[in-house]
Amino acid sequence: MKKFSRVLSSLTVLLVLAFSFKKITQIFIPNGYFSDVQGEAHEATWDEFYGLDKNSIDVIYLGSSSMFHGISPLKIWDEVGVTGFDLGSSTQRPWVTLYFLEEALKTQKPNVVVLDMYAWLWRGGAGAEAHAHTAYDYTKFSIEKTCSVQRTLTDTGFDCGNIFSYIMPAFRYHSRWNDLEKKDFQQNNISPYKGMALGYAENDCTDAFSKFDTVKEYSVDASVVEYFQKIADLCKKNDIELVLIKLPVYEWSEIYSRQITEFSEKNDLTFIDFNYMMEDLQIDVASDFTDGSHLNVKGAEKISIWLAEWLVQNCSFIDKRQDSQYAQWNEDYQTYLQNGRNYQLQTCEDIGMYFDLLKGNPNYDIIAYSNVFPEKLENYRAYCDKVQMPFPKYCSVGQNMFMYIQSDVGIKYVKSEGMMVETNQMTMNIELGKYEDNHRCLYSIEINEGGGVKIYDIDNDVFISKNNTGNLIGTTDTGYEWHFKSQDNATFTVCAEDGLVWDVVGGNIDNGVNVQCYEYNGSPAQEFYLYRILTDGGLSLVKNVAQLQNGTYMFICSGVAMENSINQSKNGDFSYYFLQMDSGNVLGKMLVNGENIQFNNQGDLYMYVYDRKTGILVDKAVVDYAENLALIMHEPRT
Amino acid sequence: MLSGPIERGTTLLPQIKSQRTFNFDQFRKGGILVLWGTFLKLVLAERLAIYVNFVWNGIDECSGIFMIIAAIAYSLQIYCDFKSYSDIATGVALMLGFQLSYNFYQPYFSESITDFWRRWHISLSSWFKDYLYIPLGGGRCKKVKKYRNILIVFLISGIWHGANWTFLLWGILNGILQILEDYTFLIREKICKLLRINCTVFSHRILKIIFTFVLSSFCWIFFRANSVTDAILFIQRMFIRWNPWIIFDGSLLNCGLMASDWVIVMLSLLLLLIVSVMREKKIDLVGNILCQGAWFRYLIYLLGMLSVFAWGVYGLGYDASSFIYFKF
Repeated sequence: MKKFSRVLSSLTVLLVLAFSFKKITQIFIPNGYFSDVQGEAHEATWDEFYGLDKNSIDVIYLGSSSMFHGISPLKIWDEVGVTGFDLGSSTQRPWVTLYFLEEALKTQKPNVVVLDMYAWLWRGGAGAEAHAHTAYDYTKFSIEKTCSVQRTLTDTGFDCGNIFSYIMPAFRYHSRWNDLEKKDFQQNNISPYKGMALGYAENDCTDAFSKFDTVKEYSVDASVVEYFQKIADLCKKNDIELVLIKLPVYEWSEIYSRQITEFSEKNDLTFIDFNYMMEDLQIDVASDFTDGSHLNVKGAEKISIWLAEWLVQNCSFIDKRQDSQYAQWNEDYQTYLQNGRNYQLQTCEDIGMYFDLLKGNPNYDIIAYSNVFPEKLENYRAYCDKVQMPFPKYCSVGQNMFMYIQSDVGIKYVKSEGMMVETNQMTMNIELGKYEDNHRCLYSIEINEGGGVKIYDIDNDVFISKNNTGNLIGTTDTGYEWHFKSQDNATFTVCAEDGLVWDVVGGNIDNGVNVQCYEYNGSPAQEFYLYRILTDGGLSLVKNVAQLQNGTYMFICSGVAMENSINQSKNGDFSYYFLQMDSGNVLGKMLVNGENIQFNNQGDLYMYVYDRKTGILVDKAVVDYAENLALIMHEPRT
Repeated sequence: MLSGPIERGTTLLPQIKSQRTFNFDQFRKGGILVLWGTFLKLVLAERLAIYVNFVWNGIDECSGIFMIIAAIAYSLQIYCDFKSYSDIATGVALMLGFQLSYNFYQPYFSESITDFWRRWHISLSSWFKDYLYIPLGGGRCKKVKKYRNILIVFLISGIWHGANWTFLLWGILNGILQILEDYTFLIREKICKLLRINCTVFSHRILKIIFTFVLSSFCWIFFRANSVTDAILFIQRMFIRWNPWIIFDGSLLNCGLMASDWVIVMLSLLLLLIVSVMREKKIDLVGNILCQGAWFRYLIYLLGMLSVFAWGVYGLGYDASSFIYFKF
């Protein structure tokens, strides 16, 4: 009995130990070598792969890093409804490729394996140990894995550590104890990109490609060929069509292509060398690469579209786009697109375009506030706790006001008692960007009671006023103010102080038609658009009253920036609109689908853009409101 | 077996010959000893070694307090290193059913060099005593002859550690110190009587302990040095500068160990101190742990293993067989 309890307790201890060690391993293994380089896109390829439904993958992509940068499985899905997964890894040795395929075939039955042949050039080298760990440390333990690791450890010329560090990788990373951070204790982020690492940067790689096609002689490592042969045999055995490809890289030469073609012909395989199809596919070394060996998303999509077509023409697939079992793939594609838009947002330097990206996008939540009161959010959170009201996930702060904006629905006001300050001061409404005849349109400038807009004629250096007979005149008197009233159809009327509005004579919309002041009658002749003035032509101010016409660009100055902007505009290089304010303490308003975000004109406008689904901060933009409404900062830029 | 406790045939051979049965309690005790030894080796000794090696590899660039800390650190390093080895050997032996004798008895709690050599590497010292010192005549003879015997024993002990002048010097130095201690014994006693110093109180004993530690650390300098010139240079550079600010201004953090490493060193030393004091007071720590409730025992095992796993200095570029004492 005593013996039995001893054995039992020993077993318990072993179990507890094993469990603890598993947890510790999860903590100590880095969340993926790629997290530092490529954001979260390629953090947990194998976690993602193991999470796939059994036998749900049509195509498996294998090869080195040019593969997981250069093929977009989701683009291919969207094109032809073929499911695919990228199991590329950095400098993937052929024995790693073989192992990955073996591991993948345990849960998936692909029709096709697409293999990038970069490893033809494999020679070992620097970083080999890290690459080996990248490949092995995230897969499950198996005999195949041990064999593959053994093969890697026999690679000469560099030290890849010992087999123990691969079987129990925690020991390889134990010295990370001092660098552990929050994310190490959390689950890996599972990305929906099917193994693809999304590189968006467009770097000119013309220089790198000058090395293209310079190698004239090459003898391939015998074991490389041996393992490619094993891969080909494994595919044959499993009735899988193996397609060899080579994605464009600057270090490629025709000799490699020839050798691989020989290999493929011997094995009755297809070899597609994209290096020599770049012109046909309109792949530009100046803009389709992140670096000379890796395509960016734009480049990858060009290849993927072509490959998608090729796959459906040459292999048999069933289009699964309408299959409800694969509905998630459609969603994942949307997330993939959204990620691209996020990147655009994060790197956008044009405020008009920025608003365009936000406008109508149902995936963003926006907090906007002016001045430097981010702590107000915390106040509000405390208030919500106090009255037991759920804190809206994201809300905006006006001067003393919190708002929750949904860019597609509008603002949901959250008024907080004792914190809300109503003001009767002049407000300004800016509808977020809208496309109109290819111009970004900012309309519905509205000046409330107690304020107006001064309109300046830049060429004649006069302000626009109105005489008693209803005609518009230029005057040096800076006092005359116009009132802008927005209309439902995204236009506005311009009201004089006596209530008359601007009216195009005879309702004529031709250029050069006179504008007069007339009683409001709601006709199109009294509706004006306000366009943002663009640098790329179309600069046209209210320069001649007699020629003011429907669609004329209008330049409205802010008091603070007036001088600046006038000088700029005289040089012909200003690009933004300005709003005249007549009081130092004015609340501005941004109009989002009829509802306002207020902001103070004395500080910058801070905008926090969140992903609605995940709540992750996509971008923080600061709009320098006082100066020229330019985007002056982006955070975080991943 | 060669470098661990050097066991006498009279105690070991009967154990080998006798019938052994698996003893669970001994197995557990041995396990804890192995864990403790691994902890001392990987967490403490190897970490201290980083700093010690840094200073010794750049004797020309370091001076003053850097040297003093390195000397202290090396004393602790070599103790932890050698003790860990003995503990692991003893622990494994215990797990297999062999009882090996303790090889260290808190040597840095010694109040004199003579005392130190009764506590340090006991199995070797007693071997020298029984097979060299006593055959030479031991201490029960004329003083000159006794001192000669002491010198011979330490000389041999020095050479036994390695064929290098540094080891020879280290041995002779220890011998001389022991002779001086013996020679001045009566004088010291007289002074104490004259000044009415109570030699049995803690305050006096701690002074003696510190003094002994300083002396033995000084000797270890020769043990660690690659050559006698290096050792002399090391000692010289100890005194050419007085730079205590390096402890506070972060200079110490540029010597291979980060702040967190120093914290681990300090905490581990504190643990070692507590364990040593308990052993000195004859408190059976292992027995105490083993009679605790299961959750507590397992927590201790788990924490022990976890700290060795995470804080141990091992891995790529680290050769686990590089136990300093192994080559002896």
